[in-house]
Amino acid sequence: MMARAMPVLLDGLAVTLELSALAIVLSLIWGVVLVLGRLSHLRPLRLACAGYLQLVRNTPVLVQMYFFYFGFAMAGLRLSGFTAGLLAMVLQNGGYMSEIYRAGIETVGARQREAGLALGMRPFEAFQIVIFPQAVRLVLPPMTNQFVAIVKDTALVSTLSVADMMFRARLLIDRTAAAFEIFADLTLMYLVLTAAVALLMRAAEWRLGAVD
Amino acid sequence: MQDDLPSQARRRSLTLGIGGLAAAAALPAAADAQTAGGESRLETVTKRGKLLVATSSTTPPLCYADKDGTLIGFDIDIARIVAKSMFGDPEKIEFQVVDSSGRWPAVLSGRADFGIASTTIYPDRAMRVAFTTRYMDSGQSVLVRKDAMIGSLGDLNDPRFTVADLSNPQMADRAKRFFPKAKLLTFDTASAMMLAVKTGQAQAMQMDTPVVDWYAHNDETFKVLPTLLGNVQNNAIFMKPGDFTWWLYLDTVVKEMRTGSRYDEYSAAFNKWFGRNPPPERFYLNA
Repeated sequence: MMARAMPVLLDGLAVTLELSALAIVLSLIWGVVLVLGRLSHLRPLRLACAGYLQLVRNTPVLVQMYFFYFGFAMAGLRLSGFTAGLLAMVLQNGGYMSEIYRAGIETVGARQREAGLALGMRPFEAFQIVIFPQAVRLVLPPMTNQFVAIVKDTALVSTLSVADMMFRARLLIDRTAAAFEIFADLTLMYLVLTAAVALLMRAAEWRLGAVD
Repeated sequence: MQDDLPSQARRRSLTLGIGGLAAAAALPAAADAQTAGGESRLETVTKRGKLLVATSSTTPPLCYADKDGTLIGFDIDIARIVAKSMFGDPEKIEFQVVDSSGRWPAVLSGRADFGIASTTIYPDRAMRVAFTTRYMDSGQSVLVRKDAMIGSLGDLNDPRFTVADLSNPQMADRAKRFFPKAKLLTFDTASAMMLAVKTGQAQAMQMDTPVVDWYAHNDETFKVLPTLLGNVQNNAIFMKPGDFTWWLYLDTVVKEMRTGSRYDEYSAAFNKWFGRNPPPERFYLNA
C-alpha cells in the first residue's frame, strides 16, 4: 500500500514544491519591504508596519487563507485556492522575515554603523560594507526555521481544493481507508523536503562563513 | 537529592519518548491484537460504561453543532439510541469530531467504538470497514445557486460552471458521469462546500440529499435540482472489521430501530429532523 500510494503523492509533490518555493521567495522580498518601513525615519510608516506585523502574526494563517478565498469571493474577487493560499503565506511569513532581518541588523548594532560613518563612509556604504555581511550570517539560522515552517504550512492549502501532497493523501485515504500507511508515506515525504531545505541552508551558512 | 531531579526527569522523558515511538509503530498491530486476543469491543464498551463515537460536526441535519457548540442531528440521536440501548442512558456517550477522511482512521485505530457521520455504504469502503445494515436512506443531490440559472443536470454539464465536491472518490466518479464538462473544486467538509457555493467560488455542490435539502430549506438563495445523482443509497454505522460480536450487536440495534423494539424512538428522531415518518419497512408496522 505504501508503494502504491507513492506515485499519487509524488504528483502532489510538484504542487507543494511550487507553492513552497514561491512562498519562500516572495516572503523574502516582502520582508525586505517591511523591514525598510520598520527602520524608516518616518514615524507613520514605522507604526503602520508594526501594526501590520501584529495583525498578521496574531491570526492563524488558515483563517487568513479562508478570508482571501471565501471572503474576497463574496466581494466579487475570486482568487484560486493556490493564489489565496500563497497570498496568506507570503503576507504572514513576510512579516516574520522582516523581524528576522531587523534582529540581524540591530544585533550588529548602531555603533558599528557610526564607526563606519566616522571613517567617511556614506550611510548606504556603511550598511553595505559593515552591517550587511555580518547580519546575513546572523539571520541564516532563524531563516532556515522559517523556510521549514513555510514548507509545512503549505499543507493547509489542501482545505482550499489545491491538489498538494496533503490533498492527495486525503483522497487516497478516503478511497482505501489505509490511513496509517498513507500518513507514514506523507510524513516521510515532508521530512525529506524539510531536511533538503535545512541542508541547503546549512550549505549556505558554510559558504558565507557563518559556521566556525 | 535535588541535583538528581533534572537528570532523572530527563531520563524519564527520554524513556517516554522512546516508548511513545514504539507505541506509535505498534499501533495498528496492537489494535488487531485487541480483537484477536478474545475480548470483543462489546465487553470493552460495557466495562468502560460509555460509548466513544466518531462523528462529523459540519453535516446538517445529520451531525452538526448548534450555536453553543453542542452536537445535534439525526445521526447524533441514532448514536444516543445505541447508548440508551446499552446503558439505559442516552448521555453515556462521548463524541469525537472527525472530518470526511478522518472517519476511517478514527475507527480503525480503535479510538472510537464506531462511527456515524452521514456515511454512505459503498463496496470499496466495505473492504476496509464493517457496516451495519442501513439506518436511513440516502442519495446524492445537487444544490445550486438560484441566480446561476441551472435547472437540470444537463444545464450543469457546462464548462462555465464549477461544482464543489467532497474529498472522496465516489464524488469524483459521479462528477465524471453526470457533469464531466463542469469544473470541480474539492473540500473536506460539507460546510466548506456550502461556503464555496454561497460565496460564488462554485455555482453548485453535490452532497447527500438530506444535507442539501437542509441547506436549501434554510437559505432561499439555494435550490435543489429535482433529479438524484444515481439511485437511492444507504447510510450506515461503520466500525473496525473483524469483531463479529460487536458488529452483530450494532447491526441488531439498528434493525431493532427500523423494524422492532426501538422503532418508536427511531421514528420520533426521524420526525424531529425530517418532518415525516420513516419510509415503511413493514406495511403492517404502526406508524
